Amino acid sequence: MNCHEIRELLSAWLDEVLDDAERTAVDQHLAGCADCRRELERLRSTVSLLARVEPARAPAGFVDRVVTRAHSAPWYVRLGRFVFVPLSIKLPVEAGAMVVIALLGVYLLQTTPELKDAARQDTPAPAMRAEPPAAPAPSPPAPAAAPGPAQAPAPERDAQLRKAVPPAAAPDKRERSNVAAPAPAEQTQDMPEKRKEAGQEPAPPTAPAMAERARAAGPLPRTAAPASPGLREDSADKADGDRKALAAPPAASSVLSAKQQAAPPSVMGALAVKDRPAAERALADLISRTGAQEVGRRQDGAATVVEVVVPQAAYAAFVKDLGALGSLRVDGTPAEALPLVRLSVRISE
Amino acid sequence: MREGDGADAPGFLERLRAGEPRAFEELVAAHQHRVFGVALRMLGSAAEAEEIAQEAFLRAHRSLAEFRGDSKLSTWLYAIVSRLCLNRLASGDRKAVRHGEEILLRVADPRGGPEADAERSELEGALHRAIAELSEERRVLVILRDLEGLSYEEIAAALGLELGTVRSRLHRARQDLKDKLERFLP
Repeated sequence: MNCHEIRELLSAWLDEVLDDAERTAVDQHLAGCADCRRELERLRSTVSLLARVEPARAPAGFVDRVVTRAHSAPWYVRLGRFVFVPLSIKLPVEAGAMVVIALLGVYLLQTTPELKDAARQDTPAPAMRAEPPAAPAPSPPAPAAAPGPAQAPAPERDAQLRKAVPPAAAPDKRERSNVAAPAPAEQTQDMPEKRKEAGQEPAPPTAPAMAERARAAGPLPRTAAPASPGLREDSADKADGDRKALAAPPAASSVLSAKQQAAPPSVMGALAVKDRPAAERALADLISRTGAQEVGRRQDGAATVVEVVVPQAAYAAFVKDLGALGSLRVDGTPAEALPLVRLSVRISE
Repeated sequence: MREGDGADAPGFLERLRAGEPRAFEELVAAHQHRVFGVALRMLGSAAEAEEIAQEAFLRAHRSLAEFRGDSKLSTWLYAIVSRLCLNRLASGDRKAVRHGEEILLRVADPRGGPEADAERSELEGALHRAIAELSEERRVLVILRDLEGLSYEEIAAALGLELGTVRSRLHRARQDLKDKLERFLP
């Protein structure tokens, strides 16, 4: 081996990892080569210098950090916690918020229609207001719209009506209200039914209950409108006011609001008769018989124009009887929302 | 006996394989400085070295069941950390590190007076700089052999190299160091 080949083995010679043949060859060469011996010593010194390198030390807390990481949950568990554990807090909060929102929505859905209904029934409100004060005491029945049965003593009539009207008849108010010309007897059945309800209840119905009842009755004012004036009046009267109301139903004008008084006639009637004075007298009789009220009269040339307010329930009968006086032409239809119908009758020959 | 060799005491490996937390903590405590030292001298950054050293122990913790016991635990850990370092150096996505300079600050011996410290710092600075300037393949051999004391066989097993390759590369590395440290040689 030459020096170059021997020097390739010097490092391994220092570490004593050469096999016997290599070691013998190197030993023999070193014994006769001063340069290679010098190179070997320089290499040995270099290795010795490396041994003086101070060992590095791990930073403080290294063990704790490693152990903590090693004993922490696997990455997929940590990922799962990261994804889902916050939801364990978020979900209840969000679910609670959703419940609150849902409840609020339901509340609004329940309250908004009521508000709308109340706004719609602003005009017939008097009919609705008539019930609560009448609740503790028996409410009077329908007024003059039922002249026949109304003549009977109230207790007896109540008993008859209780027998005649089944409890289930109460919800039929809406249906009856749609009848074009309800019979007086039917109207009287409505009111005693309500009176019976009020009498049977140990305590006055609460305001929501009244509102609910008014809402369920729907067009109740159309049917029970004639009763409302009596109810309101008699609620402030004594107990025997019922009988008085039955015997002498209040005039329609007593419940006319200023708004209704000022409202223009909703129906225009042209009555052509042969004898105008006779027709005027017949009209006056018809007015008193149906519980209507004359609210104005004027002469228009050869014709007489009479302004009449007719209870909604008695309107059909009023028009029918009015048509019997002569040739009647009716223009317009009464507003269903109003308990009273304002009718302008032009009587001419 | 090198630091941490006591970790190979009988029964310790069984405790490790059984997942005993205390056994793993003992393993880390016994080999932390050596594993960290290899990483530090290979990477030149203390922060990066700790990251790699931690990762080495964590991989060892996850692979304890695969450790057959053919080699010492220390050799096994050296193999893990050395390969992690070589992979990191080969990845190219590591931050620029001025080899040698940071290591000087990290491994400076606080003991001794100013003169001794200055002299020692000069030599150690030259040593670390010379080591850091070696190629990665040679540097890891110098570190494992001349700084950590592993045998050729252990190095070959750790790095998956032939014994002849270890011998020749180590000789080249020492030759480079000899040239760089010429002024400190007699």
